[in-house]
Amino acid sequence: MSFALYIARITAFLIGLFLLEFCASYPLFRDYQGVLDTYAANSYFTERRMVIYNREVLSHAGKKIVLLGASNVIDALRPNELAPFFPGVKVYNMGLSGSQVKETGEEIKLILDAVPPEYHKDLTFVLGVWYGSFEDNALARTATARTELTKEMLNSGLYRENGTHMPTPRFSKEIMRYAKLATYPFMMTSAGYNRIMGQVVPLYNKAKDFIFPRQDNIVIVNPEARADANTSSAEYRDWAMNHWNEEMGPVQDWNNNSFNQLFAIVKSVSSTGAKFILIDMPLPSWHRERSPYDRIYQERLHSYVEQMSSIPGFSYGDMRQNFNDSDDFQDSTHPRPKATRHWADRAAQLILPELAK
Amino acid sequence: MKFDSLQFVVFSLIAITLLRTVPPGRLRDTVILSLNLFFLSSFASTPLQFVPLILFVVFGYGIILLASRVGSVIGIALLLVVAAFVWLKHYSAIAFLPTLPFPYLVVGLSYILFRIIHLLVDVAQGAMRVPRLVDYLNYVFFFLTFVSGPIQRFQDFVAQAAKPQIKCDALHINLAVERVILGYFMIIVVCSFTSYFNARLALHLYHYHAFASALNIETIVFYAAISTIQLIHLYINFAGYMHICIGIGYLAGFILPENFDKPYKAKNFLDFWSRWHITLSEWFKFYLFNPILKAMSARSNTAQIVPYLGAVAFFATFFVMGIWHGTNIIFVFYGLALASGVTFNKLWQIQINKWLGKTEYKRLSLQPWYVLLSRASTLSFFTIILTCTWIDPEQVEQLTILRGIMLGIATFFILLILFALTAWAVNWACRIANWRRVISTTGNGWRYSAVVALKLFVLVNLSYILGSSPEFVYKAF
Repeated sequence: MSFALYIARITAFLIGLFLLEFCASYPLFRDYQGVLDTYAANSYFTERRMVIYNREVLSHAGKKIVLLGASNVIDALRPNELAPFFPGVKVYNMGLSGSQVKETGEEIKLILDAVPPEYHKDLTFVLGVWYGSFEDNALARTATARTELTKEMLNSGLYRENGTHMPTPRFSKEIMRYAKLATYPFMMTSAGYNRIMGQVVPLYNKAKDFIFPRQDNIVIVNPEARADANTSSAEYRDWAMNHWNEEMGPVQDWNNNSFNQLFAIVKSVSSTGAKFILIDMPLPSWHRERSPYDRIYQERLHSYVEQMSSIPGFSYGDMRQNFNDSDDFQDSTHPRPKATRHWADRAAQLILPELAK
Repeated sequence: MKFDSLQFVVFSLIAITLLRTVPPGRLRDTVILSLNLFFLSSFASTPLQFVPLILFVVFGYGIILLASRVGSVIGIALLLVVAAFVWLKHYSAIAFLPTLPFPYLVVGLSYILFRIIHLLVDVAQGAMRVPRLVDYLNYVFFFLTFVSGPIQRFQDFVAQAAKPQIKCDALHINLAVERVILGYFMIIVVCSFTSYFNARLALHLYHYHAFASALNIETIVFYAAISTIQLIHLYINFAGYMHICIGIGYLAGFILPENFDKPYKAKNFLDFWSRWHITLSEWFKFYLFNPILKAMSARSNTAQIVPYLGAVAFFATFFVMGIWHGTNIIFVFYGLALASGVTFNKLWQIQINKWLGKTEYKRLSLQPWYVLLSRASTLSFFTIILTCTWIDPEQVEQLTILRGIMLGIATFFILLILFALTAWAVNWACRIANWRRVISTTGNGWRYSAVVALKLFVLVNLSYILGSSPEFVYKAF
């Protein structure tokens, strides 16, 4: 048997197997084509995948509001609740859980790349921030450090490294549409893997905690039970503050990397003709009062907002007032499901004047 | 070009096809050289980055030419080549010396040094003629062995480069493909997990259990765990890449030397080095250990002292081998630790031979408990000294000598028990279970092709799921 024949046989079988896998995966993703609300993401079609695969939804003509930020923006600013305030304007929530300013900048680049230049002026980016958005970690400090978004871009096989922090597409826009379909089988298997690990990892953590019990007695709030979380309990608040303080690192080491990145992003967006609205997202009063970062964050943010105020298309809105800890918050940052209409109302009051300009 | 990239797969297929079809002669030499240079070009983005490497290789050829004409200059020639290597790698001991003002490629430099020294010594001693320039360049830059070996002898390479040494039949293709698939499975799947656990355990070790400042049972256990994972990761990573290189070599008609022979079955530390990174050990044996031993033996009049000279030669050889692994001071400790381990092993063998006599010693060394203890000690010792290759230097600075020694000793005994129990359990399991290959390695039918395709299909999916595979560890050495 010649080597060429051997390769031909293997290739034939491989193509057959991939075709079978594609047929199995297509029904899972068919319903997500054209969906651009990261609240609807799941383990098959994650938030980052939705941004990468479906951002072309924004390429139509007409005014659009694109909501960006972390999970507090995803949960709080529901497009169906905001849309009535903006007749004739499409509202999309493209928040990414756990994202920081750097990842938002990458997301904006992807969006601007998907939208034809003549429609950039119809875009209004609304970025909801809080001090956690400006976490100064290796990701923020190292230009080439990979965010979850760029990791997903590279993992999809549709993009390749090019030595900078933003991978480049392997295919032209015309071919990319079909190339995306070809990755459905892998997304299916990766989702299956995540589901399995979702069962295995808690068992590992239980075993680890059994062998090495935690020194502290703080109750870990189950994220799945967020709706029932007792955020008024001292234990929860202690845990939350401990968690955010650990995330942010020593306050004396917190520098301006992320703020500088925000400045660059705003300038870049402005140069395309699009609008950029920066909204300071609310936090429960106990969180604001106990955090060593919030006051510093406010000072820095206002300093940068002052510098950015002269940039065309930029505006700032403070949404931190008139929120009630028990009615509006279910934990240290997220809204109660029943309160999202209030959050949408407050956000709309800040967006409307800028949209009218 | 990463080994797990699509580009490498396509490149390999093209290389295999060319190497199987192009007849011997100038065209074949040119094809091999083109393949090698194309592979090399994937490592850097600007031509300037290649210049020091090319100059080093050219310098090496010049030195070989000189040594062929004036054999007595071999000492100076070796010194110059090693000095050039040390300067290019910028060892911390010569940090005060000026360096080149631009980034340059050092990938594969260590192995190029080994090849140059091999040629230099063999040519100077008359064991071979000066190689043709094209053969020299192909040998030094051969794409399958460029990054991290295996270190092949020039004579073997030239014979295999001239024409394929292995038939392109079903049996050999299947064996080679199985090897490549195994290699990819090891680096894509297994290494992803070991990398993941490494990162998690390192977090615990450095942050939660204050590795440098506390010495308690938790620190010891986490240190033992991360050391073990590091050993497994290193072995799987390196052995996996070797499987891929050797498998692709088979397909192309090359018989590359093996670099691993079940090192986890080593009887003692000396035996370990005949099973781990075999070609490196053999190179050091030929070009360092043997000359040192020969030189010392020539000066010695007493036959009784010869075994002890062997111990001294081992010390010197493994000390240099340890330093070779890295450019900063910590690798001096690594070298000392390696050398001490090997020397202790040799002295132990000499001494116990004296105490028990040859026959009794041989009987003892066949005892299952002795083999188990020896093997576990070897693996435990190697696991601990391997710390030098992965430890965070900041943590080392904070660790006091006494705490470091106590941590090392405590971990050694924990690992000794762990490895001994594991080896015993594996031996017992192998005895009672009749392991049969589920999937045949031979056959040229459609069924076998379907099985291979299924394995590749699973691998591609796992590669997508697990993301980019960890970097090849030995690329840094």
